Amino acid sequence: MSRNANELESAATLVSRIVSGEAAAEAELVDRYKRGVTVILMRAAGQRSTAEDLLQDTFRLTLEKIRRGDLREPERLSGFICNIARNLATAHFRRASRQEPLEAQTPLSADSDDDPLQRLLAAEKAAIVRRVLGELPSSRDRDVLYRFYLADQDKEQICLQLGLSSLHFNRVLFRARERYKELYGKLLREQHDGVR
Amino acid sequence: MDDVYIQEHEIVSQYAVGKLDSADRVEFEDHLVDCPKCLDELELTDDFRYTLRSLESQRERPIDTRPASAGRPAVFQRRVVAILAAASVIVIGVVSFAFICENRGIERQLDQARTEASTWERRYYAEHQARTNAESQVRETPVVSAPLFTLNLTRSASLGTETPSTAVSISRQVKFIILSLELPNDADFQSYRATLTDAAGTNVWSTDDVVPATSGGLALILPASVIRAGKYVLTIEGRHGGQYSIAGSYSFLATQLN
Repeated sequence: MSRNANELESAATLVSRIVSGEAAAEAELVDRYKRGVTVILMRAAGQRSTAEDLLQDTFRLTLEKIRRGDLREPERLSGFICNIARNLATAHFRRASRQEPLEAQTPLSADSDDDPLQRLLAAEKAAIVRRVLGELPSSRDRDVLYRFYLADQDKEQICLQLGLSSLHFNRVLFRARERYKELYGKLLREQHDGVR
Repeated sequence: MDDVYIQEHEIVSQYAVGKLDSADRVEFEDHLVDCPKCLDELELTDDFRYTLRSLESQRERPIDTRPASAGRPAVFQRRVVAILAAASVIVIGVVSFAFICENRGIERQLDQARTEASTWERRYYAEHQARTNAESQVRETPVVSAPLFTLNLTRSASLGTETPSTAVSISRQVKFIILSLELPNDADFQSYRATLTDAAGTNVWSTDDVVPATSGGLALILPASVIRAGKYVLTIEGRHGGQYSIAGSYSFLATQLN
């Protein structure tokens, strides 16, 4: 995975500052990587509460190892943090499977359905998705989205069954996502303007 | 794996549904953890997917994602499955009664259940035969009995006073016709849509997402019922990159045979 020189330099500088004992650099590291590590742990753990516990442990362990000088290639800071997070998640599930049955995974969305505002937002998002589906040029494109996102079919399987090229498949996903982004962004702006 | 590769191969979407292999997943996560753009895109993809799932769960019938197969009468399949399930339940009930019942009242009930089971069996075989016949009909009818007409590209096709040079004569018994068109050589379109317009300027039939044959021509199957005697123009538009543009026009004069 190629990264530009500025990003690598900033990771190396951050590590160097942490090693020299700068507290602000530690807070900066957590701030910079918190969102990404949360995403990875949510997928590994499946539950928000478990992911949050593992998140704390990840950063605690990361900073301990950096201070000890265990990170020999500072420009590989991202991979270093991810490895710690993944290893902690694996160890957690090994312990949990020995003790008691794993709890069922929560749905992908982190939104709470109990909040009336969240329900309203969910309804508006549903209207946007319906519009995106309706604007697709053919029923075959809608079929692509359903098969890939809901029916758990592989891209190759879908392309073979529907007679699509890989390029067309990617284009359908890209256009649907971009259109959803456009309409959802417009919704948020309208809501923000309405509040003001 | 750089940003260009990630975008071109829809890596974010593949990761969102858990379709990356372990090596790619690790490599992508190492990138993702420090890439706000990819994190935004992943969040948006998850959002879209979750909302789509919610919409699907509210539908009365789930979306059919079985492999596309033309002409399978779904209603016969569902009926056959329902009949099989009912016959199985009754047969199991009959066998169970045979082991535990001794007195005459229960034996009478057993006989009645046997009668009902064989009735279900006869219905199942009848429905199965009807389904087989319907499948053969669907496979055979549109192609075997449909006449084919070849249309020529007309440079300035219109519904004016000129009589088109191509004539299409349709028998009243025919249910479908096939129009065979030669496409312009310089076309570079991914698919086509076709619109048939009558002399009054009314669109009487259309179709889209038509893919040309390997020979470079286009074959359109349409119901004969949409065509009456008179002039028609068939307009073909090619799709390239989401936009449509005129690929060709084909005019013809339709007449009906008795």
